[in-house]
Amino acid sequence: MKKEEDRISGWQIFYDDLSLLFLLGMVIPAVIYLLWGVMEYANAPTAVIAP
Amino acid sequence: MTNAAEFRTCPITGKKVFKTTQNLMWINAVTAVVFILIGGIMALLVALTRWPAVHLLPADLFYRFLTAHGLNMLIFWIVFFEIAGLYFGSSVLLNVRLATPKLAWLAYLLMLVGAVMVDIMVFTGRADVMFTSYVPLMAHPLYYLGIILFAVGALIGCGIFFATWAIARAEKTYEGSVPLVTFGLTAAAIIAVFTLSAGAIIYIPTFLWSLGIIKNLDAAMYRLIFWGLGHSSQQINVTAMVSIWYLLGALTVGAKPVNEKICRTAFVLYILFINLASEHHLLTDPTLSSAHKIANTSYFMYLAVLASMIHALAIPMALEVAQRKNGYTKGLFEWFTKAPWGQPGFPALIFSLFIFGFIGGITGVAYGTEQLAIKSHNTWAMTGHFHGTVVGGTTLAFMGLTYYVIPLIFRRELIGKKLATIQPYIFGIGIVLMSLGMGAAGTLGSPRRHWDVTFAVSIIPFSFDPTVILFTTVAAIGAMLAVTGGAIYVLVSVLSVFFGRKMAANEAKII
Repeated sequence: MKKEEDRISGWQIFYDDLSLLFLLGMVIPAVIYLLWGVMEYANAPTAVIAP
Repeated sequence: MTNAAEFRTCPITGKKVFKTTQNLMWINAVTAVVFILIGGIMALLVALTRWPAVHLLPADLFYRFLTAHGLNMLIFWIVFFEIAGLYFGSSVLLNVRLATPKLAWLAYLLMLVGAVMVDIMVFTGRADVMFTSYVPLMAHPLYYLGIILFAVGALIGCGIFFATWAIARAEKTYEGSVPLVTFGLTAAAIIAVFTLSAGAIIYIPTFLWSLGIIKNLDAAMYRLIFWGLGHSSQQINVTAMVSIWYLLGALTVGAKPVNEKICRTAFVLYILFINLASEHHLLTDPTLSSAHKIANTSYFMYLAVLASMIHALAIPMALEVAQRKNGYTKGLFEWFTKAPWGQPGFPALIFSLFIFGFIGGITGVAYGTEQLAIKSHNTWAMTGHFHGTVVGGTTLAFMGLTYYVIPLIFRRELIGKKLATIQPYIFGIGIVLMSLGMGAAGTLGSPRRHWDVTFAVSIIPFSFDPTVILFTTVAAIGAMLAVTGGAIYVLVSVLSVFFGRKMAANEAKII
């Protein structure tokens, strides 16, 4: 059994995982800022010019 | 596998400095200084035009040079320097050869060709579209192509950083987690990939539109995606700057963070949430819902602000602990008063931290709320905000680091050490005056990006409160001081890099 001080914490494993950090760093702004914003613009009602 | 002849061992840190890394850092850093020189000359001309007492340039040249100032400073100077920083943070700090140096040279060439193309288009009057190049303003196609080439080159540079990280892990050149500075630069590189991808998403169709292949570009959609590049590129700067703060702390007083886990957590918060600040530019757009605006700029963005506050406490704490260990234990502030203020790195670090936090950061958080954005967004107050972050914060930190990179990595002794020592003071005081002057004049309604700030030749006359002219003058005097500080930086670094005494291989001298 490993000693307490030798145990690597879950947070450290997460912080050392470059691929996961990279993935999250791409997905979060892409979804919350870009995609959500694009959907709102795409669904904006078209202005009607009064005759 | 590495050949011993390909590297030297740093006599101070014991790290391996590979020849290829050193050359690539050198060329990227020197190129960065060339672009800060161009951007700095533009800054001088623009500032002398905004100063009503001088009002130097005609309107067309003012907008042209303002476009050039933004691109050369915000993009070219900073990204070239950051690529040099990424190669340092990966190859030097992880004790490993740089991955694919030939590709790194290709990346450099793409960035250089792109930047030169953009500058030629701007200076010849074929891209008077300002930094934002909002459609339907149209520039020459080569302008957009130049930005695309630059972005592709920078993306390759980020890829090389990640590949070098992977080689170091595979070859076990470091133990445990990567050093904090490398971790911070990793965060900057991840943010950069999102940023440059957003740039590619918007600039490729804009390039095709300028060629006439695409007939129509939606202006609102352009703004949304453009700011994924335009604002996020400044978040790369913030993250790289904070990494450099930790490095400067270590180089100047031997500072180490009291709790590295907390600092790493703050960098992770940057990776996850800092890019959402791009929404600040859209807060006055009625098409987007309040839910989108509030989720981005309030709930999620505040997690990145929390990260900045963690760094803002962690770094001074690390400095204090290190100074107390160095024997400065008297009273509350001996650690601060007896700090190495006579070395350029320490005042650069403190001024950068102070200006970024108290001028750039606080105003950014305040103006990033929907209510205040409506009032302030197109005023000079915004210009005061981002000169506090990007110039007083990032540029000053990069300047401070340069004085250590020249002897440590390029192995040249600094020429003009006294000038280098006073430079952060002159530059820092200048930026404080300029940002506060801009902020105060802007709060009273002075517009940003405006040639005729007194409305002297306006069809509809308007007269500001006279204090606007006072604050505009304060900003102009600050700008002159900052330009002087910038000129000293360029002078000292160019003279040292090309004519500084070559240091012996075993010469253990930091500055």
